Amino acid sequence: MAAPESGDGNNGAARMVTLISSDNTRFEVEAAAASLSQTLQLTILDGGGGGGDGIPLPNVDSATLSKVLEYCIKHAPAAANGGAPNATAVDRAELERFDNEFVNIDQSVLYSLIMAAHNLEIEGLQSLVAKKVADMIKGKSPMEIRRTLGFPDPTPEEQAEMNAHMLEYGWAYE
Amino acid sequence: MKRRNNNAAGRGVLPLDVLFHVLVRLPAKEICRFRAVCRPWRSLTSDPVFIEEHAARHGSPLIVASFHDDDKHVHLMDLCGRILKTLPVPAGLTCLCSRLDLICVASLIGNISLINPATGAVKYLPNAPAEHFESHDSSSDEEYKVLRVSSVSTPTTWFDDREDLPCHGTGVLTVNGSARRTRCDMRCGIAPHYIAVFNLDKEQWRSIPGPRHGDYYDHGSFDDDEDVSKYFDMWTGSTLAELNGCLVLLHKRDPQDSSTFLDLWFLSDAKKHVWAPYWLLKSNYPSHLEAETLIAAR
Repeated sequence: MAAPESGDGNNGAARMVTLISSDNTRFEVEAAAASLSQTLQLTILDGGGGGGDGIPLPNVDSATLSKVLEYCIKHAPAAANGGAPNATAVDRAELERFDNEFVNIDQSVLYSLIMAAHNLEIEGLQSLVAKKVADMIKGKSPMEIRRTLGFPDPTPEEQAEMNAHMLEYGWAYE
Repeated sequence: MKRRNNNAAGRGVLPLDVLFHVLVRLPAKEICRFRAVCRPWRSLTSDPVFIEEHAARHGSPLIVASFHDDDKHVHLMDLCGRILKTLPVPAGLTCLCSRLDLICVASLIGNISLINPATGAVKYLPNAPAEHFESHDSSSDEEYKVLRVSSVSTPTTWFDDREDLPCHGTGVLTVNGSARRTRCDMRCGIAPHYIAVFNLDKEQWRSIPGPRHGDYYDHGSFDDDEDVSKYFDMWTGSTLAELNGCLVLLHKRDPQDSSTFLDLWFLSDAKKHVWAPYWLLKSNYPSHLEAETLIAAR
């Protein structure tokens, strides 16, 4: 159904749905792309999101949503093929290149994205961003992690615990 | 939970259920360090659900375990401490060692059997005096050699250049049978921090140092008797195994409380004798856990 040019079926046009971000921006997107979200899929299967209705997404702002949809649109054809068993190596390489490029973004955008992927239950995006965040924090010290992820400064008690841990598991800090 | 309205992302602190997906991708060593980040991270990564998911992702080894109160079975246990399979053991035999696809059990008087952990099939080996036994496993093309040391009371003849302590405990061996090179490693508690290695091709003994006392207890040397006794505890609670082509020392610690801790040491550089600790996400197991040895990476 993500192949409007094939012409067989509903007037040759893919079904579109409208998503509304938290700041009231409307995004029109193919149902097949939006259905990558487990959360949206149910609503769409029920016939929601079409016409002037739109599906409100109060947890996702427009900047994040447009990024999420960029991912969904790119991945929808492969997903429609059921994980793309007949995808060529070129297609797969292209998706991989897209994915790498896609997460090469500012940390704050990355966090918004992982939250959105989590809330919308978009599995592929979730693991893509989780992997990126994992790579980001890999090799860092607990203190660096706290700074990277925006924790408040540790209390003296927390600091003492961190020191004790480091003493006990010194090799894990090498 | 999925619908939690969360603005914490703006402050940079990810909610724990999102963090779960991030941390579960990291190796155990990273997780160990990250347990110091804060208490919520510590409880998240100590949670059985997390440990299970982590093990499933990273392919953690299985442990062949026997328990004090059951000498008729050995158990295949995952690192979460769950028994995946229970295999009957011929009466009077205890678990000696394992190598990927075989578990070796033996009695004090020298009866040896091999158990196939997949099928539970038991193969009885001939009794002494045959010192070497070669078996051909028809299900694969691999050939196994079992080295049997009929007396473990005179180890000093192997190492006359050292003031050796009497060999204690049962010798444990693991065989690396990759391709044509066959190696057999054997520990008899020869001296503090040494492992006897027998080369099956050359039929020669040599010794390699085990993980150093200092590495383990944060001391540089045996300063007093207590250290020495702690060190011997380390040997008596240890077994050797092979994992991913590495020699692994599995050390069981029984602190005062009712649980048992397992530590893994990998011989990461066999030439330079470098032992690397491998951190188990779960380290405390039931106290009746007795012999353990690693079987395979899943």
